[in-house]
Amino acid sequence: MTSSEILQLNPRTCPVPDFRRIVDEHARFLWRALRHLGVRESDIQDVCQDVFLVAHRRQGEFRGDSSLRSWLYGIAIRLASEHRRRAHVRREIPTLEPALHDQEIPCLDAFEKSELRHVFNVALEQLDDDKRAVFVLYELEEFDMKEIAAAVGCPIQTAYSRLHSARLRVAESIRAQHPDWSEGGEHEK
Amino acid sequence: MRSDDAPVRLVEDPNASPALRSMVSQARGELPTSEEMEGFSQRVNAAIAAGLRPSVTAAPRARGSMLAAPSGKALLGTVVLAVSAAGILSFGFGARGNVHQAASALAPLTSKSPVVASASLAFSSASFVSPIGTSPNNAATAVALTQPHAQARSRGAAVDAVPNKLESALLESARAVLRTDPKRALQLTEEHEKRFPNGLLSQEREVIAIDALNRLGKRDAAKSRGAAFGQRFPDSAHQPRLQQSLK
Repeated sequence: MTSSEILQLNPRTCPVPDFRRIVDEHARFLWRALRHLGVRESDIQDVCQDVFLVAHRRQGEFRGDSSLRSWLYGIAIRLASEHRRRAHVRREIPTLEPALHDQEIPCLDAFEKSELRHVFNVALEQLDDDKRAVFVLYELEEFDMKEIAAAVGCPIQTAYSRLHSARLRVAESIRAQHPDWSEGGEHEK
Repeated sequence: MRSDDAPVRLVEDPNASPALRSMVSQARGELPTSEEMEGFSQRVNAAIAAGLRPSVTAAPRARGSMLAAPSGKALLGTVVLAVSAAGILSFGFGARGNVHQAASALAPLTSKSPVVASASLAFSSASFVSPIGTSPNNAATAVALTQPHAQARSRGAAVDAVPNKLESALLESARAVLRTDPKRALQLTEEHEKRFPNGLLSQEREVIAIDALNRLGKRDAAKSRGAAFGQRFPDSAHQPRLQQSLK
C-alpha cells in the first residue's frame, strides 16, 4: 500500500505506525527543501516536524487530487514562508550553516563547496517566496510542473513564468557576486 | 518527472554556467544524514503519538498562546521541561496529558520570556537529549542546553578541539579580500565566529574583523571590538599593531 493510499483509506484516524511510513518516505526530501526555502539550519528540524504534525492533523483534507508529495510540500512551503516572515529570521542569510562533513571531504574542497553554497543561498534569498518555491521544487526537488502547480496552488502557466523569472534572478545574483562564475555555459562561447 | 515541453533542468542545461550547475547539483545532495533522519523520525512519530500540535501554523495565531513559536528555546525552564518531556515520552507515547501537566508545572521557570513554554516546544528541545538514558553525555548535553544556541555551541566546541583546516581556510580567504572587499572579509569572520566560536584562530579572526571595520569606516565598532579584544587577549602579540590602527 502506498503512503497516499494510507491517508485515503483512513483519513481521520490514520494510525501512527502507518503515518510513520509517510515520515520515513518524505522527511529527507522535505528537510532538504526547507533548507533551500530559507529555513534556518537550526530550525529545520522544528519546521519539518511541524510539516508532519500539520499533515497528521489535516489528513482528512487530503483527497488525492494531487500527489501526497505535492500536498506535503505545499504545507512545507507555507510553513517555510511563515518562518521567513518573522523579522529575526528574514534578516539572516543562511551561508555556511549546512553541516559540512569535514572529515569526509578534503578541506579545500569543502571550502569551495561552502563558497558555492553561500553564493547560491544569497541568490535564493533574493527571490520572493513564490518564485523561490517554484525554483526549489523544479530544480532541486525535480518536481514536474503539474506537481508544482498543485503544491503552490497556482496555474501551470504561472509556475512556468515564476520559474523563468527565478532563473533570471538567480543568474543575475551569481553574476553580481562572482562575475567569473557566470561564464562557461555554451551560450557564452 | 519532466514533460517534453518543460524546460531543461539547470543541472542538465549546457547553457547554464558550470558554477550554477555545480551549485544546484550540490544543493540536491544536501540531504540529512541517515543518523539525523533516524532521530528525526523517532521524534516526529513520538510527537504524533503524544498528540502534540504544531508550534507554527500557517494560520494566524493569537499572541502568547500555548502554541507560540519556540523563541525561548534556550531558557533553563525549557530545558528542564524538555528533559522531563523526553523522560515521559521515553516511557510511553500515551503521555499527552503528562506532557501538558509538565508544561504547566514548569512554565513559571520561563517567566522572563513573553512566550509561555509549550508542550510542542518542550518536545522540540527534547530531541536534543533524547533518548534519555542511552547516552553517557546526557548530563553534559542538558547543561549545554542552558546556553543560548547551545546546540550550535556544543557542536562548535567539538570541532574546536582539534585544528581544523576549514577554519584556516575561512580566515585565509577573509585576509585575501580584506583590502579589496572588507565587507566580504567581515562576513567571513562572522561566519568563522559562528562556526568556530572557540576556534584556535579566534585572535586572528578578531584582528581581521577589526581591520575590516576600520576599512569600512566603522571606527566606533572597530574601537569597541578592539577594546573587547584587549580584555580577552591582554597578552596578544597583535595588541601593539591593533592599538596603533585604532588611534
